[in-house]
Amino acid sequence: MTSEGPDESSKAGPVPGAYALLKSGSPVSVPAEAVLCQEGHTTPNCYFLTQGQIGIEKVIHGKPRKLAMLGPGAMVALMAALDGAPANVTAKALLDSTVIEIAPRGLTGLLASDEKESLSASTLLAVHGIRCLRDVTQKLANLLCESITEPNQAGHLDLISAARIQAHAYGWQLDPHSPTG
Amino acid sequence: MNQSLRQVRLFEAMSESERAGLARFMRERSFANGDTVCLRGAPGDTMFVILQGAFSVVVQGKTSETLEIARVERGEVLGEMFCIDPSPRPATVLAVGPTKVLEMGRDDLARMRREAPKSAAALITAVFREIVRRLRRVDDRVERELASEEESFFSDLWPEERGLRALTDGDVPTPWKACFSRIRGCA
Repeated sequence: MTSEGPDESSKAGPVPGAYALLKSGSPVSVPAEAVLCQEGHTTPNCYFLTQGQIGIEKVIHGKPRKLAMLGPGAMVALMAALDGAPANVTAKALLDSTVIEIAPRGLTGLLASDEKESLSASTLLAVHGIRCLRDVTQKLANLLCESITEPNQAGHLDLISAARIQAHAYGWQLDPHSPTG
Repeated sequence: MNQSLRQVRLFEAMSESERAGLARFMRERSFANGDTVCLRGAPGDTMFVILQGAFSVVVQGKTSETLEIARVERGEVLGEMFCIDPSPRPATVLAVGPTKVLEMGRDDLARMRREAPKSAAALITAVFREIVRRLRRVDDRVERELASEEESFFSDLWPEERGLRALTDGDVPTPWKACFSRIRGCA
């Protein structure tokens, strides 16, 4: 990975919360195939994708499976960075990409600050976290019900679909223009 | 009021002054036994901290009977996500016995951001960490299922025969209603 200078163009456009989020970390270039977080391992940092593409994958029954693809605006590995538990998926760059790498101190500082911009940033994260949780909950509920009601499933959970829902918990697509209240 | 907030798990990481700031923007409200607190599908933008009594979260069963799918007791919070991101209520909530709560709405949070930003930041952070905790529970639950050779998801998911009957016996409720209680256990 290499470091780049600050991106002044990010000051225009996104709401203050998004800009504060970008400022809380450092922009780095990641080449295609670089791993941002590894399944089974802890990760101290989370990443905000500004350019490129990130894939979420997982080994299921011995086979690597692609579960999701994320574009610019995605927040990756936030859950693993916050609670320090190992990630249950792998996130890696699919193309040469640019991310804002947010270290634990940057994230904690952002959440603890009562500065207006930081408050907007923590609200932006909270809103998207809430929407992710609602979405994941709804999808999981649908999947569980299908498992019981679909005649050809006979109570068996579709594990790939469950893993895709799990992947969603690791990669949130942020809308920098969403109102932060 | 401050004393009551001290015992709420969601607010345990907040300092005394942050909780005091939060308390300024909450108001007490009382419900009689059976009162409807909110209806499924109605717009929701408030959270409730139970001081006394309890809330029963209910859905319509297969034969229009009311099924309790969760109970929110003294010291617990209901709807903390709604004052940050309003959304239709996913279930109906009824008061169980005489119930006293502290209520805070989205407008109160907006005011708190302007007048007590430290407390607002602490509350939003507390809710955010709770969301991450719940996402992790979903993640862990799916992970255990993927790792297990047995189909364990259902064995401890619906111990109540009633819930399972509602799912499998003809007219199936919407997935969301049917699974809410157990998903809520995960999430």
